[in-house]
Amino acid sequence: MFRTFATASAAVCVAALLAGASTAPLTAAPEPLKLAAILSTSGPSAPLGVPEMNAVKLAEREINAHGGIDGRQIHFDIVDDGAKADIAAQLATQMIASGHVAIFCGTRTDTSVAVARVTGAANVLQVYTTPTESVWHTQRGVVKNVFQVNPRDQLEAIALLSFAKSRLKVKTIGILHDENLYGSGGAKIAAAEARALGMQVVGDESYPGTATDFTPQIVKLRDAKPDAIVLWGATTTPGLAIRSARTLGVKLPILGSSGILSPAILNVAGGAAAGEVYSASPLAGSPSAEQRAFADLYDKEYHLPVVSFAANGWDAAQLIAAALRDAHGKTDGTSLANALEAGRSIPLADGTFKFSPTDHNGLVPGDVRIAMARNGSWGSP
Amino acid sequence: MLQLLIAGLTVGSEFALIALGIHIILRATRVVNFAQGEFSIVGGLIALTCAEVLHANAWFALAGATLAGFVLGLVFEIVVLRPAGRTGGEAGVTIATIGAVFVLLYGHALVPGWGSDSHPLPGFGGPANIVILSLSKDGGAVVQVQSLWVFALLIAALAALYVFFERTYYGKAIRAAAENPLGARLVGIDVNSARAISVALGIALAAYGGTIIGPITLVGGAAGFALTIKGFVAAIVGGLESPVGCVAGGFVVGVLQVFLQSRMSYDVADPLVYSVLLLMLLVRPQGLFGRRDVVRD
Repeated sequence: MFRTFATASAAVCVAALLAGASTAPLTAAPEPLKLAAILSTSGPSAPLGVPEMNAVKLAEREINAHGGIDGRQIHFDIVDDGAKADIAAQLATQMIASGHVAIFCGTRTDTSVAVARVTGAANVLQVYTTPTESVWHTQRGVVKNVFQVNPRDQLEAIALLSFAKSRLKVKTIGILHDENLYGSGGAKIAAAEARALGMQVVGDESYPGTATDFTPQIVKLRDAKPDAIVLWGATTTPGLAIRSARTLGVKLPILGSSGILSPAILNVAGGAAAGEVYSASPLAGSPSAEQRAFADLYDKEYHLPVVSFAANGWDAAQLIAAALRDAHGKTDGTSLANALEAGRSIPLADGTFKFSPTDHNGLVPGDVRIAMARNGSWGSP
Repeated sequence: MLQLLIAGLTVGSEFALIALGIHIILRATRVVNFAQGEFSIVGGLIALTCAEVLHANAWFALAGATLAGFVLGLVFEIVVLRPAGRTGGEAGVTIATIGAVFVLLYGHALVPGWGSDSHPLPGFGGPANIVILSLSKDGGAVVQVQSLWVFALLIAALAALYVFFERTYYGKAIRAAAENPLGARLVGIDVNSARAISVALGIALAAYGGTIIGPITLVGGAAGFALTIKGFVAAIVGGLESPVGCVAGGFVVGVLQVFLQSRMSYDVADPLVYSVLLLMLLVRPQGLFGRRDVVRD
C-alpha cells in the first residue's frame, strides 16, 4: 500500500518537474526555436529548391516580425541535399541530433521518402512539397508525423479530367508520362480517376528523363486515337514531348500535371506552336488574398514572380509555425501532428489547408485551378 | 514506318557523332573517353551562350562552340589526361575521364545562364519547327528541317575527318604517332602534341555534335552520360577502329532503339538496345565495319 503510494507520488513529482521543464525555456530563455529545411538547392532539382529556399527565408522573417511563436523567435537552418536521397537522410539525422524540432524536406519525392524514415523513427514533424501522396499515405496507413503541402496528384487529376470531360467533351484519353516516381505514380492515379469519371484510357506510354526523341510514343498514342492526351511529368522533358507531338501533326488537347506549368516548358514546346495545352495549379486563375499577399512580399524581396515551388516553400514554413503555435509549447512529432490534425482551417498560398487524422494533405479539388497556354504564356482558359 | 525510320536516323546521328569522337580519342590515347557525352552537352551550352549573349547566328554559334571545344580538348589533354597517364597509365586516364563526367555535369550547372535545366537552341535555316511532308505509301512522314541539317553536317564532319587523317601530312603524322609512338618519335614527330591535337579534335567534334543536334534535343541537362553509353554501343556495333563504322553503328543503334520502343514499352526496349552491345562483343567483336586482323600493340 505504502509502496504504491510512494510510486504514485514519485510519478506525480516527476511529471510536475517535466511539465515545469517544458514550459521553463519559454519564459526564461528566449533562444530561437531550431527548425531545419533540407532542400535540393543544387543539382538537377535546383530550379525547384532555390525558390523554396527563398520562400523559407522570407517566411522566417515574416513569422518573427509578427511575434514568432508565442513570443519566441524561430530560425530555419537551410541545408542542401544536392538532390540525393542518402545525403538528405544523413542531414536529417544530424539536424535532429542537434535539436531541430521540425523538418521541411523536401524538394523531391525520393529525398522526402528517405527523410521520412529518419523523422518517423525520431518522432519529429516533417513537411514536404511534392504532389506525390505516398510519402504520408503508405500501404500501411497514414504516417503520423508527415504532412504534404502542394495539392496531391489525385486532386490535380480530378481537376484536370473533370475539366476535360465537362469543357472539352473528352471521352477517351491517352497517357504519356515521365518514367520516374512522380510520372509513373501520377499516371496511375490519372488513369484511375479517368475511369471513375467514365472515360476510357486507350494508351499509356512513358519516356525516360533523358529522352530526346518521342516519335515511337507519340505515334503509338496517335494511332490509339484518343480525344486528349494527359501528360504527367516535370522539368523540361515534357516540353520536348509536346513539341514532338505537334511536329508529328498531333493537334489533340494536352492536359499536363502541375509539373509542366512553367514558362520554360512552353518555350521548349515551341511557344505559340505548343497548341492547346492545359495544366493545373493552385496559382492559376485570379489570385486569392493569401496568394496576392505572398506574391507582393516575394516580389519586393527578390523581384521575381511567384512560381509554385516558392508558394510551396512558403506554405511549408507557415504550416510548421502553425503546428508549433497550436501545440502550445510541445515540440514532439505526435503533439505537432495532433495540432495539425485538429483541423483548424489554415489559409495559405496553395489553398486552405484543413488536415484530419486521415488526410495529411488537407486540400480539396477546388483548390486546384486550370491554366491554359496561349501564345507562349500561361493564363486562364 | 517511314516516320520511325526518320526519327531513328536523327537519334542515330547524335550517337554517331559521339561514337566518332570516342573513336578519335581512343585511337590517340587507347582509352575510351567516358566524358564524351558531357563535352557534347557543354558544347551545346557554349553555342547557347553564343546565340543568346553574343547574338550570333546559328552558324557562328556552331563555329564558336566547335572552336571552344577544340581549346577545351587541348586543356583537357594537357591538364587532366597527360598527368593522369604519367602516374596511372591507361587505367589512370580512363578514371580521369570518368572524373571529368562529374566535374562537367555539376560544374556546368553552376555557370550563370546554363544551370541544370535544358534550354532550346535556335535551329539552322529559320524557325526550328519548320517541317516538310514527304509522301509515301503509308501516308507520309514529317521531317524537321533541322534533321536534314544534322545528316548533312554529320556527313560533312566525316568527310573533313577523312581528308584530314588520310590526305594531309599533319593528319598522317597524328595517325603514325598513335599507331607507333616510338617509330613516330624516331622520325621526328612530336607524339605529345599529336595526341593533344587528337583529343582536341575529339572534343571539338563533341561540341559540334551537341550544337547541331541541340535544336532538336535541347542543350544542357543531365543526359550526357546516357549519351556516352549509347555512343559507345554505336561504336562497338559499327567497329571502334572504323570512322565509317562508328557513323553506321550510330544509325543502326538509333533506328533499332526507335523501332523497339514503338513495339514495346521504353523500359523493356532500352535494356534490349544495351544487350546488342553484349551480342556484338560475343559474335563480332570487331564490329560491322572493323577488320578482324587489326591488332594493337
